[in-house]
Amino acid sequence: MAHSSTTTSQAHHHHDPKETRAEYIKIFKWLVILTVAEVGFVFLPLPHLVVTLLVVVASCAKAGVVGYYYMHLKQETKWLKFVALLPLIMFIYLAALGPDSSQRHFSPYFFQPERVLPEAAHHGAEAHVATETPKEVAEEAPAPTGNEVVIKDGKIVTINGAAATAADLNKRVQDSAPTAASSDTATSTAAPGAAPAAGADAAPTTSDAANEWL
Amino acid sequence: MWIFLVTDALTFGGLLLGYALLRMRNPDWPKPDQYLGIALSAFATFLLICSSVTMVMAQSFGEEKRPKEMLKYLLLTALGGAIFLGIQAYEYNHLAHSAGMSFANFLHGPPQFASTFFIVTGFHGFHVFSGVVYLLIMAARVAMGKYNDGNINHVEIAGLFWHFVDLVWILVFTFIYLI
Repeated sequence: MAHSSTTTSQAHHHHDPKETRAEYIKIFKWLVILTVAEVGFVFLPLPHLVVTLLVVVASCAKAGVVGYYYMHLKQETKWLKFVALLPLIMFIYLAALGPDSSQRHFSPYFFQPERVLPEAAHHGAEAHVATETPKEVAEEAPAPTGNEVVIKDGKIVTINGAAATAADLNKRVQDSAPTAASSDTATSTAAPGAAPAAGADAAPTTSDAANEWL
Repeated sequence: MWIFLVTDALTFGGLLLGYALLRMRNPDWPKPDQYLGIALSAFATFLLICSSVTMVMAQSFGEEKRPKEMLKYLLLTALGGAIFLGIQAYEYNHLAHSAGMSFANFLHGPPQFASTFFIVTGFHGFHVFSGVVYLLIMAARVAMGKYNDGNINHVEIAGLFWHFVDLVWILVFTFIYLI
């Protein structure tokens, strides 16, 4: 357990101990009032959100008062006050970030053969879930049945035996998309060494329909 | 101790955040006051607040070089913590039988209701238990006369831990029982 050096002792020499004890009792009265109020709020006929807000504010007030007066934060340096406040700041950040990020399900680097090549899903191909980049996955994963994509050195060589490029793969994806969108910003050109499997790398430049497969 | 408390606060924050996310996603989550006893827990909250007061009183008497009163208030603080633990134990037993709540199962709804309840309050209860042990050790040292000179840094540090335990319970009580 790490102990930070306490700096509180010197501040109390100037205060009358009886006075400080009286102050502690005053704070105690406030804590009791806030507790009763908190429990009381729950039984008021107000909308749930309002009750929640009131209760949270009351409990934060209680926590703040305990920290400020009983844990002597009042007499600590402003840096220690900041250190003590840090968990709250981090918690607010996490509370905002967590629910949001848990809803994000896509990534252009997440190779999902059953989504890009729909026949793969039907034939129950081993979906080689990529944690490495699609390029590496493509080189070691067996091609799913239904559509055979042969890739060498990160470049698509054949699709179903016919010579093809990344542009052809993208076109296939678009053609099999439920909504055919315009292919204006469509298929990226097969730049050398820049054509990972599933046209995932082309995500930013393909049309919306193709994006649905990513 | 402050650094440790910051890390501990983040641990509790993580647990509470997990509880919040599980509860948000689950439309079958029951209303807490349906199964959890608010009155008893409100009294437990009041008890911990009182124990925080006795703790800070002990510190004040220690600075005044009155070790007898310091010892008395330290023991009162530990007693408050012990009674709190007793209340928790009674509550757990009561919930297990009447509400069918166990660590992994809940008879009347989603099992997460019970598991998050026991994990959060249990982790806090573990802190209360360690706090009581810590306070009793400090009380023994006070009785041995180690803090008769008014240099009560160690007692203040123990006080920080105890106030933190109270603070966390205030938040846990709010989020698990009241909202």
